[in-house]
Amino acid sequence: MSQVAAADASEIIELLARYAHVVDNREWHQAKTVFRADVQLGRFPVISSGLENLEALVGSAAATHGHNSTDVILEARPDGTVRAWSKFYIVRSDGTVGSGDYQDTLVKTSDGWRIVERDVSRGNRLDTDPSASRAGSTNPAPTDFHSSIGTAECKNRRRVCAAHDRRLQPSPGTTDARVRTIS
Amino acid sequence: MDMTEQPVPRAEQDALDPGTRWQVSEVLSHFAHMVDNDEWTLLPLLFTPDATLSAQDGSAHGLSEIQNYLRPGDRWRAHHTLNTITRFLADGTVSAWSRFLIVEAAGTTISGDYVDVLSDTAEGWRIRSRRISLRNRPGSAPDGQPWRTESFATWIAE
Repeated sequence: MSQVAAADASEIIELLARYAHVVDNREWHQAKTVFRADVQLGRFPVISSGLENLEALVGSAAATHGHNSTDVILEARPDGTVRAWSKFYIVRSDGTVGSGDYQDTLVKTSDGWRIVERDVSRGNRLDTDPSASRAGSTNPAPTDFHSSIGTAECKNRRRVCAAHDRRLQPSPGTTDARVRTIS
Repeated sequence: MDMTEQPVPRAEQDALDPGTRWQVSEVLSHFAHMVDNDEWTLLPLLFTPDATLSAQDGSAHGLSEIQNYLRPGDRWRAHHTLNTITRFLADGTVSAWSRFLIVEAAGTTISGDYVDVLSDTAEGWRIRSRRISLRNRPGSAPDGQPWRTESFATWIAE
């Protein structure tokens, strides 16, 4: 389906799992094994550029929920890069779970596959979905990574996928941050 | 013989090669993306035209019935596919046993099992049959029976 070779797929799936361990443990010195140094978060608009800025943004969220990576599908592009669409779910300290999507562009470097672009979506979550910072009472960080990124992604998606969103007819007051295509 | 007490040997010839394993994995993952995004045009890429779906609250045969079964789902749910184990069957099809996790809008979850048989078609691997069972649920299933629980015995009997 994807035309990505099994060996590359295996490496990329492991890379996406590795991110979960890096972020949950705040092991930023490992981040360069997942992202290229010039990694860009968000595309429409760009939310941050460069690994240092990404670390600062992700690090501002409470580290009280564990990330889990699932459902990886890949698409090979003519220029040799790979688009990856995966899902994540976080288990918060209160036992509730939140789900979302990552859409990444990966490049094969001399050190192996690295993420160079990442779009984050909160997926099928209501606006009232508890944020990580509210759930993590021990660390009431002012910025919740997922809700802030999700909002930006949602605005983007309203523009890019307007037809799709109209078809879905989102209820008033809800966030439709679904991801439509892998391109 | 009570098969639940017997370890199921993993025969060399049952094991999937890495290429097949990845293609099967991608089909199962694509299902979650399709359902969560209402992308029903993808259905023929994931199921054979005569595919069957069996659950305790209904069954379906063929793509349009499968779509009708899946489509009314709560749009605020998110499906995740985990813990897939696979083996080749004697006829060259693949049997896959996966756990699913559905995240609901309230942050609550539902978990269960998919037991699938996939066929290698000219267009790639497709799900030929899917059995859906919820796991660890209180009470009885909508069909009045106890909740079905997948096990190595039920998987091997596939």
